[in-house]
Amino acid sequence: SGNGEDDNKPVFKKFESYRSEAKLPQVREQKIVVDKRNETVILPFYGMAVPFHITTLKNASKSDEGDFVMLRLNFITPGQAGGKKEDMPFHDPNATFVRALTFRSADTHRMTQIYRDITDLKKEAAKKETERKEMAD
Amino acid sequence: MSERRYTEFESIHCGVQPDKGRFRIAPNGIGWKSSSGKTTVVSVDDLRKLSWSRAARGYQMRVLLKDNTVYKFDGFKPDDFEEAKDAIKMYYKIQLEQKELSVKGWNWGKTDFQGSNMIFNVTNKPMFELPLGQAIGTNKPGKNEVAINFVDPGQPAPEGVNPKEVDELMDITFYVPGTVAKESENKDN
Repeated sequence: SGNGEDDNKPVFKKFESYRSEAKLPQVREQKIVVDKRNETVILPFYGMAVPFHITTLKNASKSDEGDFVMLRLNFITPGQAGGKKEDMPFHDPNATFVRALTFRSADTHRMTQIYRDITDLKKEAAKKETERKEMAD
Repeated sequence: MSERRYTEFESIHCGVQPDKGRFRIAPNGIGWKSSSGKTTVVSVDDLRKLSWSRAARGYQMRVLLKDNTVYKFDGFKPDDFEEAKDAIKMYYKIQLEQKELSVKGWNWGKTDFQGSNMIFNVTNKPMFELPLGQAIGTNKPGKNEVAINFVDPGQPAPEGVNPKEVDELMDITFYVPGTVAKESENKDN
């Protein structure tokens, strides 16, 4: 992407979870799976295994509700209050964006691990991005 | 019709239900019967389109009816495709279409509606599909935002679903730039 000469205007840095459907791991169940190698969170949507690349994730939070653990995922979209808009160019700003998702499970232990895996993956991705920017400077 | 004329697949799920059953493609229609006795039957006259795609549990057959109702059966093996395709072609003269899903991992795309199903397409491939008929509410939490609520906190897991075995989608929020303009160009499918 940018070669540092005229990067006043940041460009959209392309990313993708999987090249093709065949590369999507076998999930087998309707459970959240964190695919660290491909920096992707695979989410169950009514029988489908739906991948979201960690780059799209803004943050995650976890809360308890009775017997359930709820996991909230917030995604990066245009028009976010307090967002550093200029830092985040969009591939198609006029598209419809998934901004947030909430899942729940009664498997407290597994959900805690998933929450930790997601936040770690996000931290690592952010670190890599910072390093990439430093290299470009 | 004394001779056996149908094709069957074992260990197939209907919708998100955990029970497995026998899935049958027969001249008069499609049938599914779980080991506990639940049944789903679709008459040949109601069939409109059948497609095949990846699912959380193996592969999925999506059955679209003429009234836009959608039934989904999953748990098929990759090798089941040819057999299912041949049976569907022979009995219904319908082509079982292989539908590739978007696995890019992007969170932006375009929404499309088929009956009460909302399909989220990324670069013209479906990424996910939501049965809006199962939604319990919608609201606009903020400017250009639309939230769809499927499960309320405190609500028990659906009958037969072990909440430790299934992670349930509770709600989804979309950001829709220029909501008003978009609605007027909503195309019917």
